[in-house]
Amino acid sequence: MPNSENTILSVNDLKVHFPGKRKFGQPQRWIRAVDGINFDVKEGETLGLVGESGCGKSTTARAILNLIHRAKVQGTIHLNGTRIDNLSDRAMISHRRTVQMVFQDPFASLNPRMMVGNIIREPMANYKLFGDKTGRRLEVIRLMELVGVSPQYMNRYPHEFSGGQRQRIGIARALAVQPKLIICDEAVSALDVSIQAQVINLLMDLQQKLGVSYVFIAHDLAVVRHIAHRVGVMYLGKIVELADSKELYDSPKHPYTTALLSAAPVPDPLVDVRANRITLTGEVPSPDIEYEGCSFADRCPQVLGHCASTMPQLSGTDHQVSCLLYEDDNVDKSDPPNSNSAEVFV
Amino acid sequence: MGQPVLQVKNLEVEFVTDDGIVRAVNDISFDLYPGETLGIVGESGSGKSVTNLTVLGLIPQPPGRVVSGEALFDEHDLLELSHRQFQTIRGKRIAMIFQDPMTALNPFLSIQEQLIEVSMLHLGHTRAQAIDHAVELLELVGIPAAASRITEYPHQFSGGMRQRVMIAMALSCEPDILIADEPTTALDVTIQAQILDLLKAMQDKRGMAIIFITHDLGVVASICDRVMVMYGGRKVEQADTKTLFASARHPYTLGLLDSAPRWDQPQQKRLQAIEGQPPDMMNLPAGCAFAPRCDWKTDECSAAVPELVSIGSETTESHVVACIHADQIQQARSASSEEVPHA
Repeated sequence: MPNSENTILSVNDLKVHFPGKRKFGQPQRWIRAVDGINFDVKEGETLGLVGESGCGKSTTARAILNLIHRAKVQGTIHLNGTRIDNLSDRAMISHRRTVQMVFQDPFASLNPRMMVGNIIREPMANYKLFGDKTGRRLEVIRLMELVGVSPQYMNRYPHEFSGGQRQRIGIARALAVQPKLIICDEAVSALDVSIQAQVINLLMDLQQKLGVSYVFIAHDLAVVRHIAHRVGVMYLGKIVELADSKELYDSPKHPYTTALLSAAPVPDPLVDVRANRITLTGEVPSPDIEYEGCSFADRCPQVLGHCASTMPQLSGTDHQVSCLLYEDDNVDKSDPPNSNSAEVFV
Repeated sequence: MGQPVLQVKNLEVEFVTDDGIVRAVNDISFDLYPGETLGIVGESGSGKSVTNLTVLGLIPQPPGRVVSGEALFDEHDLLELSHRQFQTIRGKRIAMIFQDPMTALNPFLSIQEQLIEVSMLHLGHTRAQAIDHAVELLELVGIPAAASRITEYPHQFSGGMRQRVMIAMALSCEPDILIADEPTTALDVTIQAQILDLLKAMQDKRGMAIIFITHDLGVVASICDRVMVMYGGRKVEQADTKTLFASARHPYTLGLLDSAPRWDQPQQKRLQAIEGQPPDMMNLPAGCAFAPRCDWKTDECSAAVPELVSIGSETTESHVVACIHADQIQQARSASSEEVPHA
């Protein structure tokens, strides 16, 4: 579905099912890491993906990069108008220039035996960009200045840098091939608050200057609100709600989003978070269960009678939500129906 | 608030490494009162964890070395205790929860074996008594079907459940002090909320004091009564939580507060990041360790390490800050907050 021109990434009904451990005499179980998700990312836009561990955020990232092996992958992924999900590793190489990744752990994602200048230069050399060695050297200098690491440190090794600086080097490496889309998988989670703010500012500045798009995956709801234009909330391999950042945080619709937000701490002792916390019972169930209805039904404080048997669809135009409470009318409903068993701690 | 249950005075700890001496903790003093939660905030390497590991006698010596100071607990100086004496206190009267519940539990032993060890050792329980006690504890911390799950192994528990097991283990002997070192950092927000509620409930029930080490200001705001801010191995500011969030004076504390994004407010244009990098503990700058990153820096800042000065007479709680420009900062902040009404 290569639609409007400025769409960089289009994910359609993506499913990634990993084979589970096979027990003797039992049928093969499938871990439904990603179970039918749809979203688009436009040029210069940041799409945030939030959710708890195991909800499929990182698997989605790896699927976009076509890095999933030994799993059933269904659905389509269009990158810059070209379908990439069915490409071989070799054919994928030419598209890897369009999409790059910044990883969570700035200690593990840089080769400790390479000087940082070479780490940034390598992707350029792979694609024979910027003419010759001298041209690439100049580009490395330009990129290091762009991300705020002094180019005089080009010949140092990763261990000589702090976590924040290493993350800047990782960003410079991602930028080296002039990608249109950068996937940031928990890219600032490992950093201290003051350094985290520096890197977030850097990512936002780069977007302004270069017009690059981001898929920003994080579990920190505050960071995602700050950086993302639109936010998708994932639960058990599905996007349960997708809306503009302000809209999603100010008037969340899906009961899971509401619960997630109510659990997030606020750095202000005058805000009594506990007063309106919705405490979810239990934990996220195993992703190898195939649900007939809504997978959140057995933990949902607003569950309806037919939730466990009817599969909700992500619907709506700007503010999409996948919940039977909103199924009847995709027109915005101002007040949600009465909660029937909400556990509200006062 | 009565007598403090723990008094740490002028603690100084250093590590001798091949590359030089790391002065991890410099002149740290604090009191901890029964029933309160003291938050310790700071970046990685600011000495938060070393301070508390020293109090528990868990710093390997060498390479670590306690240069000076004392930690008074129940008329003992914890720093003077022998290994054997410490065993009657650690785990029994002062307990600890670690950040990573996967590595803190022994993967080869069942939850039962790990839980009963504590009470058999410290409370003199028989094996049968200890198992009953352990099941009670697991029920207390909210593990469903505790009696049957107790024989399982750590890998069969999820992260949140493992952290509950750690808390059960720490509470086993009803300690006077619980030291929690980033207990929720590795957990998802919904699980974090459950664990914070649990700690609060346990504290209300048992009246124990908690030292809560974290870098998450949201967690501080929701659970701590008082906060101590550390930078470069020193205490730079301390106040009760409300005062600290409302009228912090140290530029580092202010920087921390300003750089944390909030999900409950519309996004600002830019985050106010603290420029520069955390200090190199191997060669800390002369004078104030924060000076190289500070907007208020003057020449005097590098002359001497600023003293902790008590300020804020308007509240009964003590508010101390180590910055020679604290008064100017306060004037500037109150002036600017008049211009821009608080949103």
